[in-house]
Amino acid sequence: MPTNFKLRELRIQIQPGVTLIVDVTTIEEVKELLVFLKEHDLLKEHQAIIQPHPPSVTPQVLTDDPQGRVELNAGIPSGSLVSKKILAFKDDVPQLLKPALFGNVTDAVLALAYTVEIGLRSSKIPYEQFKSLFEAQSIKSGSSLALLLNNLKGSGYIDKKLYDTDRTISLTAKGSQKASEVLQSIAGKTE
Amino acid sequence: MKTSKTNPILLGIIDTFVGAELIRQSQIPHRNRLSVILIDSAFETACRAYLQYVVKIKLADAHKHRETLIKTVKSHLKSIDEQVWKDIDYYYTDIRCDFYHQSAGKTITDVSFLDYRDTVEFVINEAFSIKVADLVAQEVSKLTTAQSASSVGTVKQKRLPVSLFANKADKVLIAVDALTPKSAEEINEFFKQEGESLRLKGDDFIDTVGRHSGTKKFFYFDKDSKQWKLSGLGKFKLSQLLKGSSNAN
Repeated sequence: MPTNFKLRELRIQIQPGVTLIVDVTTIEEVKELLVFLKEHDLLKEHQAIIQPHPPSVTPQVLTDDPQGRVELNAGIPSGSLVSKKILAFKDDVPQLLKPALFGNVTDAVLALAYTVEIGLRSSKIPYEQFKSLFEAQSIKSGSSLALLLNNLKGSGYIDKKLYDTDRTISLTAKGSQKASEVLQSIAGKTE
Repeated sequence: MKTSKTNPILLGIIDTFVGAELIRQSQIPHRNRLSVILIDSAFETACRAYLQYVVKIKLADAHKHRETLIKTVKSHLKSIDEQVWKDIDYYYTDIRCDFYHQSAGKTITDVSFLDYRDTVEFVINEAFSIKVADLVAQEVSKLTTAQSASSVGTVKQKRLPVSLFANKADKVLIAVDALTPKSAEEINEFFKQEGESLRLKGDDFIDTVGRHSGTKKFFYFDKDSKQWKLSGLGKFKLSQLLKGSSNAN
């Protein structure tokens, strides 16, 4: 029978704290596995918990740490920002671990603004505070931060009205989306 | 203005920025107009100083013309994007010259002025390997502190109560921002005044500021004044503490 879904992974809790993770691609393999586990007394009917494979870009873990929030929102596997040396929060301050990973300075600025907005739950940040943070990242730039932000403003990535009114930085929906893509792209490349 | 940290050739340039900042902070309606004229003056004199004292070329009559001057500076600062030069040129041609020679009634917005000033500072920072904003802030702080010294001594008036925070490093961060101290004794006196029970031994203090010191950390030791100060990252951390405390209230 044709189906509209694709099996990728099966997780079965055989006892509290012990979960088997099995790669499967067909329903026949699932059936075969269940029979196998029953034969070895590793599975009772009420214990079978079949979970779909979590989408690879959205970890199904609720988190309250800044890094986890960024990963969750950007659709990056949990723990990968640090393991891939992209960024970390030290004492609740975001730090780009290898600024050179970002293709250009604009992307780095965008990602930094995103980490503040999502990681630190600051929907907006005054320019001078952001500048202090930016200058601490050792990002090599051929341009002033003001011009970089004006470029982002022109591209619709940061809120023009807020910036022009009181020089406050706040990502637009388009900017958040772009920042997510930047982080996803780097996380993908460094795999 | 005297500070050994500042290259003597830059003293007048930094003072021009200080003047522009003091005007900007004033209530003069056309303050941004006046500040633009000063910042452009600082930029042009910085370009001459850069060629003369950093690149070490003998300035010719041709360098009296701004176009030639900037072209020569550009040829030595190749890491700076073309957009930066275009932006400065726009402010010179379309804004500064108009303000200086023609239109008496015009000015620009605060945000436009600050963006322009940042871009000029960026070029001077690259040329002389300095941070203009920090040097200007130090001088402005000295001037404003001197004016209000009789009322508050060395402690700034606006600060977070130390007792709000459980973390020792956070308490020290607040104290360093308020005092720019030279020793643990000053911090302990500050804690005492604040009703804070924590006391630091000399080693505790050095451990705290030292463990967090470095280019990416919160504190740095200003060898010039022999004081501990907050780095840019420290200021950012402080802003986060301030935000956290206001959210909690």
